[in-house]
Amino acid sequence: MLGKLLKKDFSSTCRFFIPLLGGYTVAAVLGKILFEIVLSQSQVPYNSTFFDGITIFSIFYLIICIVYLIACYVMTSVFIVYDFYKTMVSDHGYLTHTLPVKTSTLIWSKTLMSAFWHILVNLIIGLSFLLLFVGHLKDVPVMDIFYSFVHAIDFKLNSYSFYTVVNGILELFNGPLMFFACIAIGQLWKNHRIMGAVLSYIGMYVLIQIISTIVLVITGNSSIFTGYMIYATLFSLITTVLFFLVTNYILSNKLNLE
Amino acid sequence: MAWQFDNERPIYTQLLEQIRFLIISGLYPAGSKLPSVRDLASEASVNPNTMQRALAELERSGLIYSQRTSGRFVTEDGVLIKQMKESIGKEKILTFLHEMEQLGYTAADSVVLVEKVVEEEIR
Amino acid sequence: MNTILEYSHVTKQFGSMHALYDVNFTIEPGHIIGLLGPNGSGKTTMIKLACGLLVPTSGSLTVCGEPVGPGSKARISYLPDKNYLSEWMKVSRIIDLFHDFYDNFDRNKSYEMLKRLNINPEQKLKTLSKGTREKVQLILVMSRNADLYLLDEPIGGVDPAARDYILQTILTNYNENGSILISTHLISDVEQVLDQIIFLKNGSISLQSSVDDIRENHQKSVDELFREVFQC
Repeated sequence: MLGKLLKKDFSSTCRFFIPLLGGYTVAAVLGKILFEIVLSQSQVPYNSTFFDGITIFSIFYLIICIVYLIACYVMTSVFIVYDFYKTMVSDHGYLTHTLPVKTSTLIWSKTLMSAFWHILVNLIIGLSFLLLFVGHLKDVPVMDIFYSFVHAIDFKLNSYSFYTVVNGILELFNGPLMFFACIAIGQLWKNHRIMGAVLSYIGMYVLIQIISTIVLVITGNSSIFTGYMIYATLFSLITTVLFFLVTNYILSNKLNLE
Repeated sequence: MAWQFDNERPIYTQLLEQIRFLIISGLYPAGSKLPSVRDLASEASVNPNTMQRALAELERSGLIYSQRTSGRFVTEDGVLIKQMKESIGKEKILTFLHEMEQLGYTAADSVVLVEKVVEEEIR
Repeated sequence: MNTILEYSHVTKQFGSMHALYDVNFTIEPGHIIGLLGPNGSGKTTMIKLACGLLVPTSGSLTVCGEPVGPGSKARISYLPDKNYLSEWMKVSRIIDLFHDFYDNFDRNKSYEMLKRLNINPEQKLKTLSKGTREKVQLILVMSRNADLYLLDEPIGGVDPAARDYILQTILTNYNENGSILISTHLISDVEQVLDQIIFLKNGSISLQSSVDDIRENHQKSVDELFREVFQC
């Protein structure tokens, strides 16, 4: 059943992400072309007005690309929340909740889809940066950079970088689930449900910040970063599970679609 | 087209009468096979259980019989059908005479008027 | 044969308001039942409880002997009184979706019905008229070989010809192993298709009877009795 749900959610979220990411890819390719033009022009010091024009244009273009990049990140989260709201607690919920699946499976599907799209967005944006290096590998000491990078990270168990990765993965789940839990909590009221969701998000955010600060103060002193990291990761794990349980409980037992 | 029913009487009773009419008038000839309960119900736009009840009543009256695997059939007993036809015919005539009485015609007058109308119809 | 649906002392409260109070009844297989009552009497609440869209405040429901859950949802085919499908989807896509999730969905049947109504499956839902969309929703529901069909106001917003078609479809899909529950306030249109009715008044069952019994005992149709019972 999860597979079928993933397929369903994928095809409905595709409609948004394909244009978004497709547009970004096109923008990145155009940016690369522009980059190459600027680069080639800078080697040959003639036709300066054309060169100036291109440079100015490419600065504007860079700004646009950066805005688009930020928009990609933001819109991904916004759309995931919107999609959850639409399919789980508005009219489409009449279809979703009468499918022969458990509520927990529905939530899993949404969460996994969110993780997938976030990973994809990061990948595409990352690749767009690497794109700039294509054709110039001989100019850049890639292997040296790579080795010093690996050495700096010092990827071992129980190291800072290890926890960063673990936290990164956890965040893929914690992020959407926090939104989902807030939407679910918002459903407990008859009216102003969106307001309820927003308020509970603010409330939860504040609460988490307070608890995190307390944890930091308590554990921050013991050893340097890694001590704190263990607790931060643990805290993140606990809240992720909590958000899932809250969402599942409310949508299974307190569902009241309009 | 859905069969029409009036409101004060149970639907199965009216179905019964309607099917009986179809049998007597020869639309469902003696010995012929009736459509299935579902088909009849669908044609009449009524609930199949209601149609089933009507058919059960008709079976009890002897007008139709059922054969286990092949379905329901109109009786081959021509005499029975004729008897039913006559008794219904009589009912209708009695109703007619009653209504004519209310208009002021005696039974004898009514008969005369009937003959006159029939003559005019032939011409 | 198992009882298809059973309500046992079911109460549903929303805050301090009782939508349903101590509702007890069963649906046996092979019937077409009318759930009748004025707006706000609790009809939709009753149906949503059976579908698992609501959870009772107290009491219990069972569907074919099981509690409400994914198993019961597979056995129930529900037609809500609203647009619950994504508008951007093509009809064929939605059929694929139903085919994916419901083992008892008959794809061929749905295409047949669409063809008979001259509905192009490659059209997107948002391009269809209201009446056509409702017919599509009905086709999807009736193409399932379910144990229980729950139809919430299936003939409400449609023209008389469409109503006839819908009632015909309901009759054609009737089978002795399943039952159909129709919630409506358009009683006279539906009465001859029903064999049992339930009157719901202010969240409680005020009458449960067969259609024929009502006519025999009260010498009036269900529609007329309803008007009497629920006089404003």
